[in-house]
Amino acid sequence: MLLCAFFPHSGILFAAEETLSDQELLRKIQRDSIQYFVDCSDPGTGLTLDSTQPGSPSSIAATGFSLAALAIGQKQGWLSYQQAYHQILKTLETALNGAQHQKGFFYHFLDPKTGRRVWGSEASSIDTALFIAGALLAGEYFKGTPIETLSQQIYDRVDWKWMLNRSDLICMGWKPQTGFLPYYWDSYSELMILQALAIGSPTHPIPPSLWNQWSRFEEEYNGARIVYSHTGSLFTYQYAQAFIDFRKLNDQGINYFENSKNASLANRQFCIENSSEFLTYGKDSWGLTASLGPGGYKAYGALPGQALHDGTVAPYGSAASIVFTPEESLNAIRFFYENFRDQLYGKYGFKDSFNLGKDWWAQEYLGIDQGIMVLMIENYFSEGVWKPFMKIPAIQKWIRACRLNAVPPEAGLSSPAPSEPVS
Amino acid sequence: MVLLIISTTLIFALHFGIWGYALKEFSDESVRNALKMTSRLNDYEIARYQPAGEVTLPKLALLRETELFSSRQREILQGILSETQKRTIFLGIPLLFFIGWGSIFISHKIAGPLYHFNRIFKELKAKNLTARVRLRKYDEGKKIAETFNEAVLELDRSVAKMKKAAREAGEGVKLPNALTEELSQFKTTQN
Repeated sequence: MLLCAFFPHSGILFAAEETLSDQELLRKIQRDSIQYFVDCSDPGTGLTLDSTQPGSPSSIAATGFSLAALAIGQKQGWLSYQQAYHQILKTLETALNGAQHQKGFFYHFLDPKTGRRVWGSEASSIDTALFIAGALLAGEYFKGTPIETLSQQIYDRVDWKWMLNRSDLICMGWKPQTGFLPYYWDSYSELMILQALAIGSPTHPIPPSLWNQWSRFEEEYNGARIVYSHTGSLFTYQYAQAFIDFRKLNDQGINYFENSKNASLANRQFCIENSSEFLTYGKDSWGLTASLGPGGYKAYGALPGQALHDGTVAPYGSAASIVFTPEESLNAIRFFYENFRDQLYGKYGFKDSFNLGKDWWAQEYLGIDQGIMVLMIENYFSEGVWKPFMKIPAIQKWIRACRLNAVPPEAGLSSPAPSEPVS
Repeated sequence: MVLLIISTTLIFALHFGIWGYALKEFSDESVRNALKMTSRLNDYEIARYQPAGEVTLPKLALLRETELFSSRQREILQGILSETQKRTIFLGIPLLFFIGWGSIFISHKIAGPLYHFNRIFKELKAKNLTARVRLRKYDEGKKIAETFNEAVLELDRSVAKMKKAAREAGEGVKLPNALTEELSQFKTTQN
């Protein structure tokens, strides 16, 4: 009472924090996460830091997520049109004219002030694809403006064929000193966004037949057959689907939306099954995905797959599965927020990860991890990324070229109904 | 004086700017951050590129990190060198122009009076006592010129007086021809 007398608004605030509806909580997470891209992008170039760790370089993938997040932030009214427009435009101008690249492929890490390659990083195919996806989405949000034109120019410049290195698979990267990396995108993972943009390219497309060249390993877990990534990390089931709406697409009998739903449920089940051994895990505490951990950054994951785990859970993992598993994800989000808010939630939303058994709490935010949450929550509420992204001619071209909508859903392929957002 | 102050300031700014930048890049905090980032980026590489099931030996990881760290140090050194080059161009070239312009300005301030003095000395040698040193507003040596002109003026008046005395002595006093001849050679303001 006394406190309320002196601080008349405090009681209301506390009450509001306690009684956040699901929608309010999700919007809060989204809004706070977007702030990362406002605060952690260089004001001169627009390039976004990889993480909040001091000395962090900018990451081209995080910058791609930034473009998407700023567009969403403007749509939600959290950022003014001018603010979002100018930051996106500046970023695209940097990407087109200032950021170091090789045949349109950006280097993974860049100096945030100059756009020069740093840390001897590679010209990265997947990170470039994530940037292009963010740029094209921003182009759709700001249609008819220079943002749309610049995004298309950046996309058109990428020589996807070159990254094949005369093979049937897309190479992971290229370095000036050593040439192409000895690693290729050869199996199911986040590669689908890369393949879609490469096949759909209006200027340097790769042959659509290459869509069938990468492996789709399947295994049964938790009563479902899952096309799995080798790490079993949740992000590999999420990145492509943050942009592409796979619900009505089928690929040789595989529905990747349904697949990601099963993989998310498997991830949760894996945590439940290991909860006696690891204190962090539980039915509402799941999310094994690439994240920071007590021993550094690791590609944590669950079965099926490599399933590297040590009791570290990343809230973004379960949160970004919200389109696949709304109920389970919401329960996890609420569990993390209500039980560990003080240690796990900060000015940019959820911090990266935590491990109760080792009493370890990440103090950092990672750009790509904040970004995926922003996009997926938007899809959950309004399909706000899927709808504009699916209209992009390159995506339509890829769908047609790979005959991904050839078989109607009635033919026995699973095609889930759109998730019902919580109001 | 102004030129000296400006040039010195610019040279010191250039010197300390470069050193400040270099020291900042190699401060304890920066190196600590770079080491942490080395470890992080190595983790990223392992997470993305290491084939399933392959375990990295701790020593191998250390080697990778060392390689990454040294590559980063090379980038920092390259950055310092290019920054030095940039600063040298942006500060050094204006400084050179400034010094060049200053040198011309100073040399004119000194060379002009010297030329004038030389000319006046020649006039004096030709026994022209009407000649005076006239300097420009910003020329050096104005005080000396003033004293010099005063001295020449005195001499001028003195010789003029002697010439007058010689004339007035007239026929009554027989002056040596050599003296009259010598005095007549002097050009004075008053005859």
